[in-house]
Amino acid sequence: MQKIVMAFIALLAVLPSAAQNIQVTGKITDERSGPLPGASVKIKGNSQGVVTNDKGDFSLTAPPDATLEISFIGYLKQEQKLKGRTHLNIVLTAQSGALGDVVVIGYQTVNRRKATAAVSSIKGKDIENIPAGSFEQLLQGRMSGVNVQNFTGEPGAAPTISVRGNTAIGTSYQSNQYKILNKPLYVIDDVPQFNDDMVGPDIGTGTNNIAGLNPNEIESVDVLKDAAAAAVYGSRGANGVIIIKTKRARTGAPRFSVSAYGGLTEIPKLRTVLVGAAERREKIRLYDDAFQDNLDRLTHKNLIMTDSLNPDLNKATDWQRLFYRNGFVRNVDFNVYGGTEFNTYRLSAGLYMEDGIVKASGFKRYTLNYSSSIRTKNGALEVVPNIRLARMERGRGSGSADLFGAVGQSMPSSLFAPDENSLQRVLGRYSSNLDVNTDNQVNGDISVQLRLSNQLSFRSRNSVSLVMSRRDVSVPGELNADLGNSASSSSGLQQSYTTSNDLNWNAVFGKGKEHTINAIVGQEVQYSTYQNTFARGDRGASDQIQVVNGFPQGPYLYGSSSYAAFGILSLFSRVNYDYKSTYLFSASLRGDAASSFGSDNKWGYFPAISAGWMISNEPFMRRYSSWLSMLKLRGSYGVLGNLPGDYYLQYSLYNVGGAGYNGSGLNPNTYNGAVTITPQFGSGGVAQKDISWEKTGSWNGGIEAELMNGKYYFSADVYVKNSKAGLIDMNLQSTTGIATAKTNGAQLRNSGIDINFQFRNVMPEKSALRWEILWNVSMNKNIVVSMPNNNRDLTFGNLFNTTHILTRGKAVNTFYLLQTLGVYATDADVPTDKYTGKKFQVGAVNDPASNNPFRAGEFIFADLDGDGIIDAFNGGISGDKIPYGNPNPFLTGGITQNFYWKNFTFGFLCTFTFKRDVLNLYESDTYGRYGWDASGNEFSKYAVSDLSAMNIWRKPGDKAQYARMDIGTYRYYYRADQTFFLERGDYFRIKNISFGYTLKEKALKPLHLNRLRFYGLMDNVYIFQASKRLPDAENVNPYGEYNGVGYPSPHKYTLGVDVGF
Amino acid sequence: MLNQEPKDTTYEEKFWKSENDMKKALAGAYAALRSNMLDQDYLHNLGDMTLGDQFIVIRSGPYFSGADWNIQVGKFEMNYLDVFRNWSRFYSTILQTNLILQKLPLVPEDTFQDDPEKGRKNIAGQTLFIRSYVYFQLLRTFGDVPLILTPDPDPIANKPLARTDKNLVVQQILNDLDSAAACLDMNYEVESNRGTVPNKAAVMALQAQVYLWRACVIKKPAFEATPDMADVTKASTLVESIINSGLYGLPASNGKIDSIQYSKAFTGSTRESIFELYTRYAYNEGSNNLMPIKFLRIPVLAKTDWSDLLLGNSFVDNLFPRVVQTGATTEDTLPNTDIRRNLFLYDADGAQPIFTKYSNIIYNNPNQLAEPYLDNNVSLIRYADVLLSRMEIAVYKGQLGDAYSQLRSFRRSRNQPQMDSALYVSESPLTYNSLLDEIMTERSRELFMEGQLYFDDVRMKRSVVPWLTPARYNQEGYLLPLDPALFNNNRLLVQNKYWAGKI
Repeated sequence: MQKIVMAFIALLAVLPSAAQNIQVTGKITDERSGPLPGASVKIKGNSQGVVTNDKGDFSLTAPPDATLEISFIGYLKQEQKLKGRTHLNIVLTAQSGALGDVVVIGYQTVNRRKATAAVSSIKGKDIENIPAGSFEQLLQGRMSGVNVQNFTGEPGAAPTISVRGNTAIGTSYQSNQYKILNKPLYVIDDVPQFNDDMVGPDIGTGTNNIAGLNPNEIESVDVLKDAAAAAVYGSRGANGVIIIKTKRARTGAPRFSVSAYGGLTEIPKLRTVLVGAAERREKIRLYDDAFQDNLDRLTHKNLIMTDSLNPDLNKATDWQRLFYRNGFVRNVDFNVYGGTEFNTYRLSAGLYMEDGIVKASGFKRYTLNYSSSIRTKNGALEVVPNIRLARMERGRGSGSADLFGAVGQSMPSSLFAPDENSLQRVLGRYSSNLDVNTDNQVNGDISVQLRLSNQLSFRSRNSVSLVMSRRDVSVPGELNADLGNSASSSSGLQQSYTTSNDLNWNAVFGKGKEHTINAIVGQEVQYSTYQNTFARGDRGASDQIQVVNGFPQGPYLYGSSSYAAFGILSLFSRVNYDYKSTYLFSASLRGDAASSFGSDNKWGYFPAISAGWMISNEPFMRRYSSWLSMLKLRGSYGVLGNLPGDYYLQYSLYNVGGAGYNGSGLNPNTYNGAVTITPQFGSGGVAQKDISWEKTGSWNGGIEAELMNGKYYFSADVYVKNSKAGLIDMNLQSTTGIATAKTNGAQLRNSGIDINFQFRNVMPEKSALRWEILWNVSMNKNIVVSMPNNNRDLTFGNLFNTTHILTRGKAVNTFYLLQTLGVYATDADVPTDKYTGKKFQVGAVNDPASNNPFRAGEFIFADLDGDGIIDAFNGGISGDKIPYGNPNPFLTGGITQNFYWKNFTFGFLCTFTFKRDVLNLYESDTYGRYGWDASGNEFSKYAVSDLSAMNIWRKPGDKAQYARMDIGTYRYYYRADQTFFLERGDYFRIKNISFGYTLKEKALKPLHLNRLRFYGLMDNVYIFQASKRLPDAENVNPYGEYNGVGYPSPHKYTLGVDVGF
Repeated sequence: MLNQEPKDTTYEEKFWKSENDMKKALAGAYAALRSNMLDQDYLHNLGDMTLGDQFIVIRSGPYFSGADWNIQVGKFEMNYLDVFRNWSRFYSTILQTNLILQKLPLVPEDTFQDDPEKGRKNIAGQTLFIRSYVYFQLLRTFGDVPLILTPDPDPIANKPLARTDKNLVVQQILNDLDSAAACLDMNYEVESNRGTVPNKAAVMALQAQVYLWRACVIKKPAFEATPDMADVTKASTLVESIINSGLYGLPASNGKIDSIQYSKAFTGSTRESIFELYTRYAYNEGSNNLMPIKFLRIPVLAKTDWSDLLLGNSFVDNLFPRVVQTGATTEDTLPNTDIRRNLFLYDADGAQPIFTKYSNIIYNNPNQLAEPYLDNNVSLIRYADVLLSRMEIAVYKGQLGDAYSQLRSFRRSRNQPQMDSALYVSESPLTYNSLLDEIMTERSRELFMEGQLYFDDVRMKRSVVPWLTPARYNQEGYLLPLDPALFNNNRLLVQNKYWAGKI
């Protein structure tokens, strides 16, 4: 018996050597970008393996019947049976977003299979070489649960981003639109970025800091959507966390690559404006209608309208066009990387220039990044320095907050013949760039990773981040009504220091290694300051002086500086456990202490738990494994926080020197020469020792499935986010002397579904064409659960009559409108109250007792409170107005389709938003702005849209859609706060179309190139939209308003080349 | 790191540590009062615009979205008039004064420059004066108001307060003014502080006004009633001691005041000044958009062809006629030599005279004569008011002869020609009502655009304010309505009687 055993063992030992090993060579390529260096080739059942060199070649010895396993991060694993072959050409299929990946869950990465959290991810190459100033714009339509609206076409501007719904509540209209939706937390290379509130877009250069990151330097973007992932960021995770990893070095001989593209930005379709004779005809018609029964028609008609022979008044100036131009967009990226297993390096430089389609606007970015990695021989210690430098230059058009008010409704009539002087007055600020905005960013960090044992490692990451911004504005006297030139200068410095240290423990237990446990405990400190210095001079002596020098003393010289600081100290921990990779559990806890809270409430704790069940690993599922590669259920609950924008809430702040009074004009800081100090009577005057963290309880349930070995992937998540104790201004008693105080008074709920489909290949396996469809849809419902001051409704708006309401049971910023029921055809149609005998009437401006019945041609409003009157000027709560519509999109998403055929690629991305309402303030202004213009003079002075196609009421009996043109009626029936101007904001946009051609390797050889690819792209191709009246249904502010003064989104066309050496 | 303190401002825990801090806070209280009174020309809109278009003609309404004339007809329920109805801003000033009074005893002795006792009294006296002034303003406009004498320790608790009975409010004001008088001296430490820093005389002048208000309006609210004599007597004592102090009054040779000195009275800090808001051009504190400047145009104000406001017919023709009828027939006339006619009216004989009482203009941009600013203080209490109150008191006391002779000498001091004529039409018969009418007329002449004629009319029950009929008066219709917004947060508030259901 013993002999037999011995012989068997001997035989076993001999067998492998008995078969003669053979030398196998091969090349591994990616179907799109050519050779894949660094791919792993292993013999199955054996630990032997090699890595491909920089040309994607490998060579190893293997038994002739061996099976090779080829794998590479981001690609589907392949197995190839040698069957005696000695050379293999293997094409790997990319697998971005699928389950083979790792995902970042905050301070850790986990295999997507084991993740219990809701995370959306994209790879850097999905957003490469698309002309966009800031990478957030590129996230649109690519990630479920992430709603991006590119509401402005201004180069480099930030879009609005909300992860799983709007959680921001404000009690008044914010002209600063970025603050209406709470921004998610950005984490770039593990460093949480500045709190945006520190420098709003209305201070200094106002440039979007994130735009300093070159989108082509991004390796991956992961969005943490639920508490299971984001709770580890505690007090800043409530609005989602967007984690960006930048590209890093790989080992090998130096590889250089240059990628460049250039193209055009083109003015999109603008609003229709009538020009020349068309304007004259239209105006006369509208004027005659408006003054039908009025002698004014004969006596008041303005010269501009009638005198077509006057050379000063017979032009056809399309003023709108004067503000726009077509421009160029250019981008060059260069990078080199390489290194040994002990030391790698990567250096990259980039340049991006985009001309804005509005004159004198534009964006330039220069970036230089360096990262390296230094390792000891045994790999126990690794030091990674990383430096990112960026410079941004931004042109701001007119330099005013309203980008170009002249393009809105106050555009002059085309009939004016502009002379040089008046053109200069209108366009002067656009024709020469007098507003110079630069931001210089320095981001540096060093991370140290120390492996203490096989199970335990320590990591420390220390970073500094600086933004130095300058804005210099100089305005010549001509543009200051000839009152001398003016100059201002603003210089800001943001500094942020972060250190983060953690211990990571990994262990596998049990006989069959069925228990895997992984834990992290760490600490983080972040300290940020912002300082700004501002100087301004007016009434200068010479246009030549472009700095603040030599201006008259006194009210014309102004200087100030500011300072704000914020510190946060955090402890965090997380434990992930799984049993046989089938039952997954995870729990995390973060404690944050922030300087912005008072001593009683410094600390906030944010726990989360989650669990997952990998059903496909269960024995009873084995029989489906041929087609169902994975099926997972997961769920989580956790608490997330949100930091207030105010840093000094715990103090009763005082107002130093605010001694102005109504009528003073010069903003004095003194009374009788003595500097004044009082509490801040508006808000901030009450110390908030007890104010506590804004907390969001977040539930998530998800299902994930992968079919046919990753060919099809599906995931769906259902969530509920209860944002409690939202900080909102509460009205204090009038007798306290202080108007408002921030309080934990409001509650919001967001709930919805995120769905994600991925068809890695729609075509049959054998087809030369591969067709990939990636599809995601997010639905979110937003509701106000409670309001402070006993659920008191709050109304607000940017206009005289408030247009938005915060009320319990409706979405945030719901419209607050009169209901329009049509247009009175005749006077007789105006109803009479059967009790009072009075006709239904317009509330008079100054006297409710007066009698002003509605007339033919005016809008019919619903008299909801039944008092027989519609108050024309009720600014606040009105009995006839109701919450109506919803400016928050319900359904958003995108479809990406890619086609790969031989060396060609072709792809397009479509984005869509459905169930959103838009209030068309531009149109209400078109018709309603002349209500006070008794003579029609104003009407004749300004541009007019093409209204001829509109069904406007003209004479009694007309069944019209639009009420009669309102010129000088003083009756304000074209008020903006009515449902007539509410439109469907649904749109489906072909966002971009791209194509590429990669040269074959053979063709590259004589050129000594490694890679050569040509590509082209069309951005913002076409929009299908429900509304006929909006020029661009996406170009709508976050309040759901279109007012015509925004920045239109240009079309962009680019061609590029990508060269590797 | 977790304890960040603001560096761009100070805050409660760090402030209130020295005499210097208290002075900055006191300046803050004055500035708050200035802002309260001048917000949308509150002072002049309420005190003068209410007299109607016989006094002021609105050509383009500077405030209230074209509804300015609602003030002229007493329709305070209309839109845009929140500045009259909402008391919140006054409570900010009250908060400031309450904070000063609360923190003052805690300020260390060694931080005072001079005698700490005196320093504390000086600050306390001025603070009490400001608080009393604000409460008096609230009392006159709203009647019962919440009486708050210490800062709310927990404003976030949002505890609503009911209105305090006006008798208690007025008593508190009088007590505070007693305390203030005990803190302050009659003399000014620095002559240039005249008027802008209240002294004991200012306290007494305000207290006299409060006593008269209580005597005439609070204790005897009916339109037909005569005042309570106990309070009249107290007011009388105060008025006499101000006059007897000799600190006030412009030089008057032969009983006629120096017209050059008189014209300076409206710039500020003269012997006429008892209490005025500092709004002079220095330190950027001047005004370019207050009501007085809205009367001005070319040639008084460069480059301004058109003024928002004009003087009403009654003001020009009845108060300052070109000739004064001195006899029974229209031929018996004398030219009007009243110095105020020339000082207050530019081109008084023209079709549209310009109101130039306040016209000390400084151009911010002198090269182009652009951006005019008024370099005039806003007077709240003036010596002329004390003299006119003395006559009024004499009438209440039944000393009609004394009142008449005082009125005659007042008129003579302004060089009104007819004063010495026995034929003067309105001199007889001397009755309670005719004398009060004459005194009110004289007030209108002297104190127009000083923000108090409305309250004078309410107190003296004269019907100069055309819409304030006796019927409305008897329903307390002279009080203003409370802003409906104040009720939002406070279920204990009750609307004023006349306005209930109207707003």
